[in-house]
Amino acid sequence: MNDQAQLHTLEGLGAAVLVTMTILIITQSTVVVTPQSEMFMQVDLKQTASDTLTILDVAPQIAIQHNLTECVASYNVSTEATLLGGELEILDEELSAILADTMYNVDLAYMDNGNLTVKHVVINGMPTDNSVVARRLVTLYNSTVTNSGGTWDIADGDLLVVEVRLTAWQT
Amino acid sequence: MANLKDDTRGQWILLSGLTIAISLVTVAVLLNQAAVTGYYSSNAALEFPKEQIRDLTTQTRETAQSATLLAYQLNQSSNLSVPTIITTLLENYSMQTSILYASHGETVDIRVSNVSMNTSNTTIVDSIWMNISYYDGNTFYSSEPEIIEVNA
Amino acid sequence: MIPLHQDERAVSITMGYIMFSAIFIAFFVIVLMSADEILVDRPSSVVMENEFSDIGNMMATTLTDMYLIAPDNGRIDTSYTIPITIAGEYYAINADTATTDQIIEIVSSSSDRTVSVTISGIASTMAINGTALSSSQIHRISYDSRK
Repeated sequence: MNDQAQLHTLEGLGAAVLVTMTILIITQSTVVVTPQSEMFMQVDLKQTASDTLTILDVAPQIAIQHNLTECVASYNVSTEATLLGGELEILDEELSAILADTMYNVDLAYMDNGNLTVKHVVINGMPTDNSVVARRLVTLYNSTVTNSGGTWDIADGDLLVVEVRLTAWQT
Repeated sequence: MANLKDDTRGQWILLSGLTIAISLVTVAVLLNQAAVTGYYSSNAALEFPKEQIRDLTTQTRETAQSATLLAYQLNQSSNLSVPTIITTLLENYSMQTSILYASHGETVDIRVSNVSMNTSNTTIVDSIWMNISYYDGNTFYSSEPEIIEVNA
Repeated sequence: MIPLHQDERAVSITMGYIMFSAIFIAFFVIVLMSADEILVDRPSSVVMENEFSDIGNMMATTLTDMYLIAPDNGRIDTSYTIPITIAGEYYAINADTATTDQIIEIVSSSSDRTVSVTISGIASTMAINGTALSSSQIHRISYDSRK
């Protein structure tokens, strides 16, 4: 049994405990503040998406050729977009000009004979977890549909409320 | 087992084991200390249904105005009065809007409370009074009445 | 010249032991004495500063949004959630001086830390008052045009 240098061993142990304690206490004292930058971006994106729909709906004729209501009114109800080909290309063009670095899908929701119907009109891909949805209502009449050349079935003395759902996400 | 404490080989392996263990403890301690900021302000901006309520009122105003114009037209070929046609159209609008909002968990109630006619020319509608209410579980909004000038 | 690593003159193991011990003990004592100041006060004030302004910004955002959509005739009512303690301290959201100073204060109830956020002149057109204590998590803000 080797019992030499017992004090050295104890010294080494003591030093190790001291150094470990010091490191532990110092690391515990640091405060790491994580900003929720992911949420900031989501807030920003949601604002942009809502503003985009508002701008498209209220912009005067000289600024934009077809506003949101006219775009929706020109929709051919019997068709639906796929990943390869979208419907409502005018709307897609106008949206892509405003939402330059953003991916988006557009759906239309409306009441069809008492049933809630959702039609996809622009599909750019699968939304990610951080996607946001902006919605805006447009009211269609027989005259607006006839003027824009859509195939909505609305009686002369009736109106149809269509909800435009814009799902946007950052790539 | 007798040689275990006399065996001085593999010291580097033991030392690296110790180093990794200490660094793991450090990382765990740092992660637990991480304080999250910016959550409440971002969350308030995301959760508060500002755009929904704004869209609801602007759309109701727009629809009331366009429904009035349509009612004048329909009145030519029908024996119903202008206020009756307006009320029917807006009730239809209200029903469709409520269902659309209900599909994403928001309760919306829109009612026509009064269609007020011009005092000098009683065939012209001056304003439409509507009661709008909205509730999404956190935020309640009601505008009773929302007075919409339709005599442009 | 004698090779350095073989030269063992002027070496005292005991002296080295005492010197190293002294250095380590001094280091430890210094760390221990300043521990409260460096390790508790500073981090918690950093956390409180950040979290208080977070809560303050939430209030300002919500109030601005409510102001923007407030109806001419009607009311609007919203609830918000706040943490019960921030860095272990209870606090109050104070809007009593909002109308005169255009600010909302977040005041800690056990220390004297206060963070103020401005509400960009809203209070001059819409009276804002009230105090919310962090002892409850859910609070409400109400606006009624007829009151």
